[in-house]
Amino acid sequence: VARTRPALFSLLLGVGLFPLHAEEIRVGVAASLREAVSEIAQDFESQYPDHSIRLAFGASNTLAAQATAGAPLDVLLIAHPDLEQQIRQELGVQASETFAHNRLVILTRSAEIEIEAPEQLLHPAIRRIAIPETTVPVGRYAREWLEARGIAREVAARAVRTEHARATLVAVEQGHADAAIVYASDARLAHRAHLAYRIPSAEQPRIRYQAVVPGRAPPSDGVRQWLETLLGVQGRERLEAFGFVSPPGGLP
Amino acid sequence: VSDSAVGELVALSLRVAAVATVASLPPALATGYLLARHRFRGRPLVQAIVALPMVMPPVAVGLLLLFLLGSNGPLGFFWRATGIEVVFSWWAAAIAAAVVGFPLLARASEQAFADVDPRYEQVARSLGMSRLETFRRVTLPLARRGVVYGALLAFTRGLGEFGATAVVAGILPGRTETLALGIWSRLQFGDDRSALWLCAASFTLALLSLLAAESWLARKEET
Repeated sequence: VARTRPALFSLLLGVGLFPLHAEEIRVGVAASLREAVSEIAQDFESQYPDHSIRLAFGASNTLAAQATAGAPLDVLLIAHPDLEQQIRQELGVQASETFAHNRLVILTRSAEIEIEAPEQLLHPAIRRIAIPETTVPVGRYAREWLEARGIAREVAARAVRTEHARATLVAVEQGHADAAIVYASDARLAHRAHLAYRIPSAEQPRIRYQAVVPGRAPPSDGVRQWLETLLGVQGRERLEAFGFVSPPGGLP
Repeated sequence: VSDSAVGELVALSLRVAAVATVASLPPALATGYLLARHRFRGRPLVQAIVALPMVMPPVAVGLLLLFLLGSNGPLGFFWRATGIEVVFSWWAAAIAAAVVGFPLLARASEQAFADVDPRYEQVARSLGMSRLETFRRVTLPLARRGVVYGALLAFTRGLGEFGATAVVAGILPGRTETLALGIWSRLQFGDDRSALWLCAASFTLALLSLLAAESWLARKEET
């Protein structure tokens, strides 16, 4: 028995030392953040070669439902504050930070369709308007704005409902809709569609992206380092390059 | 983080569909045999329940699986105690494919077993074979045409599974991203060209497995 003790001890020591450093951080990412977060993940992995980031993509509400059911997600990068409340009730929340904002813009199928004021969405040349369903955040933000402008009902009559922020972009890019309400970050990725109207700042809904660390145990070192990268200069620059707006106030 | 190549997606899809089909064979054969050989009260109910995953919205199937396999669900104590993480692994994709493919396999086997004349089984039993032996050496060989056809259909269904898989296995590139999920996420991404390449790959795979199923049926008809 005595002879096995040193072996056992070194085994425990080895097991104890190794996984402390190598971590797989599992991050649920809202679809609209896909490109930006993929690049930040690459930055992070080259900065911390021991850690790896595993990304899971989906709609914010799907990701929240998956986390609630017990899917292994260490961090959620989601697009709607209501979802954070839901996660807080079900799983508890260890950290929650706003890391980006977004804006709504209107795209048209071609540059020939001009829009100078929201009311021009009702012009006869615009027969179909792609708008995400109100079950997804961007759909709720779009409805909020249309209601404030008093044209929600008229627009709804010619709306093509899409299931996703990104699907809305695809609809107008492929010519299935004459106009679309999308995030500024999605508009950046448009090849064919035309940026017709920027909704003025005063009318913009407050669109924020939240990094949520669910659970009751304090976040691991890897998770903390990932949040630092996301909220730090590197993350900020990547997000801005994709059309997101950084939160006000300096660096954490 | 890196984008998976077409080959990787094809390999994962094949693995998921194959594991799903092999794993659902024993319960599907048992269910098919039970339904073909026994007239019992509640048989229509069992038949309806067996067909259910085929007609329910796949997303609903996925949500139920997420609930059952998640560590916060009713079986959560089991997953936490064993440390097994099914959700967001390729096993979850295989389970989703097995559940939606099960009705095709079970119903096809039921049909195949019903077509086997029970007298052959009675003869085998009178010669001293056990129930299991009779099934293995008499019933199954006689029914294999329909069983293999059902298995190929279930395999093909598993290859294309999307709705349930997206919910319970998630879209994790390089881990759970099958062909169907890959097409969807590339379309979302606006990468139409790779989406079309993946469509071509999935078209070819589906066509090949259906051709295999049809030619298997035709070949066996001659003997």
